[in-house]
Amino acid sequence: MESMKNLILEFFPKADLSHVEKLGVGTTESWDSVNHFNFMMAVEEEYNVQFSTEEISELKNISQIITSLKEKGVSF
Amino acid sequence: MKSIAIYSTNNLMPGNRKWKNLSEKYNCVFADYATWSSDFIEGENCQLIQEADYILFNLVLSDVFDNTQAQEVNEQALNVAFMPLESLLASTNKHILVAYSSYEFNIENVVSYAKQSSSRFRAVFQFENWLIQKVQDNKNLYLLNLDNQFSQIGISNCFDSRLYYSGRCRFSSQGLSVFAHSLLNLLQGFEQARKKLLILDCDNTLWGGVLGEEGIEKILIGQDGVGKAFEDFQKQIKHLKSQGILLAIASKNNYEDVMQVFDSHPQMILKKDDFVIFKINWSDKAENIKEIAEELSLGLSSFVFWDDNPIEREQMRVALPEVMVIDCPEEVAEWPNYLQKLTEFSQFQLTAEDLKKSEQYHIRAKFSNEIRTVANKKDYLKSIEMEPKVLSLTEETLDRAVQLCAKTNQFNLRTMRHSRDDLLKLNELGPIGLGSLKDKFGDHGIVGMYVATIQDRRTAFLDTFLLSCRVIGRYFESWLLNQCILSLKNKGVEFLYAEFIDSGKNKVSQNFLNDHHFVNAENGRVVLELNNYKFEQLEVF
Repeated sequence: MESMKNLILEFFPKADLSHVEKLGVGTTESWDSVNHFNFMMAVEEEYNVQFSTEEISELKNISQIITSLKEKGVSF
Repeated sequence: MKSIAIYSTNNLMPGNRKWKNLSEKYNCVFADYATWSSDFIEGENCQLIQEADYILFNLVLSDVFDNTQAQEVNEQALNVAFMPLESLLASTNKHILVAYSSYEFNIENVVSYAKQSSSRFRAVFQFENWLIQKVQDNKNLYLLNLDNQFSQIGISNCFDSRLYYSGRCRFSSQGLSVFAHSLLNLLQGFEQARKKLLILDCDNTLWGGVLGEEGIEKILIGQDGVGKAFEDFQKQIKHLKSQGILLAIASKNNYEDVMQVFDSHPQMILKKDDFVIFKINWSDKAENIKEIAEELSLGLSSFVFWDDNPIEREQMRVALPEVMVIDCPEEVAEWPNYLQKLTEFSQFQLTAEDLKKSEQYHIRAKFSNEIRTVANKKDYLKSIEMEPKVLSLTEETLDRAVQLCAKTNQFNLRTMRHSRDDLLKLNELGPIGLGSLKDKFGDHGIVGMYVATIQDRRTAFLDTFLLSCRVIGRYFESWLLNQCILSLKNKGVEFLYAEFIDSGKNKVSQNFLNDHHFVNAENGRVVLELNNYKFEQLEVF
């Protein structure tokens, strides 16, 4: 989970990390759809996975992203 | 920090990790990607364009033309589609960088490709021709061929259809990374002075093997295998020389042995004449390179050092940190391409002066050698038959004048980096003189310049006075100042104001004004009363 927290901080330095799973688009200053998109690209790089086109549009918060990453074999 | 206005036909993902390096060096302002055409039409009236130093336009052909309708891409259609770009070019002199890709038009199956039956290839051809024409017509337009850069890591890795359909971004993470990296390299072409001198080792650099141990018959150059790689490396070096880069040798070897290779080895591409200076001895390379700098009057920061030996490289880094040291690949087979890819030796446009460089420094090296051996400098200077001339600013001399302003660091009173337009405007305000010099060793070309602006009828200001460092120490600067004064007196000017601005690099010109009898005036400036000016007898011309 540390790697995910670091990634979140890189893009959204003001994010409240006490409830990581609840974070997502609209929850934190500057976490808009454009920055979320950049964040998703970084998640792919970080965990060496590829989201499908649908996933890129639909995974809007950390809890969904983590679920998807687990399905792709990433362990947390 | 300089700023770039970034326009695009698709979403370049502002805030993406891949822009981070670029954003640390430039203030990157991303325009909304749909706004390029309206902003370009507004031109300098658009605030974003007005405030930018550079304008980047990322142009992906398939964002503008449908690749299933490729037959429609022709010159006329391109002119219509990119009319806003034309309009921007007409309204600004800022550097405009067009980063383009025609990738989607280039995806075609092998059968369609085989007889060129697809109209997509013709579309790409039309598009690139159109761009090339624009570059020829517009001095401030520069191209970045993205597909070409992408192809180095595999072009399909650089595009990502998922991102396109979910976020209108054409490029993958890797693609953005290559884009940002090549853009940074391109921008450095504007910001960094081109390197001037390539210093090469001999053994295992120009040829394979150690000459002193193996002898001239056994060294590897030419033929097959690694010898062929050394030959190709030499060809690349020779090409750099044809582009105006100076070559030198710094090698721990016996001088006669190396000369024998240059004189008699049939496979050597590089000949003695290709080098402006040889330092072949057993002393420390850094000492040798300091001597080269002195003898050629060139700054160490314009030197590049290529040596296969990592220990020599490390020592050079420590001893002379200003010198750029190339960490060349272990594998010699990679050297020819590696050398070709270095941007440090490139510049956007080569002037006729650049191409004559090597010859001129040959002359300079001979001159330094001779002058060290004569007792009376003035007698010597008289004997070399110097012929100075002053030229006015014309279409033929303008490029060189801009270049002198941009590149002269040492003998430059105010280091004003004037553009073409600046100079054309200044030319209305007073005399501009370009000094050229010939001597018995050859033609140095235009090596000095003054710009004086007449402020009211009686007073003028010396906006620029500079001299290329390769002719320092010949009284040419005094001669050129005389020409400037004569020209001003003819126009009725009585007082010439001037100033020295310390740039950190121009110490050599610090005393020039005092030495020529300028006296202190107000605001840190100095002044010369022209009517009482007694022209110095220079005796050397």
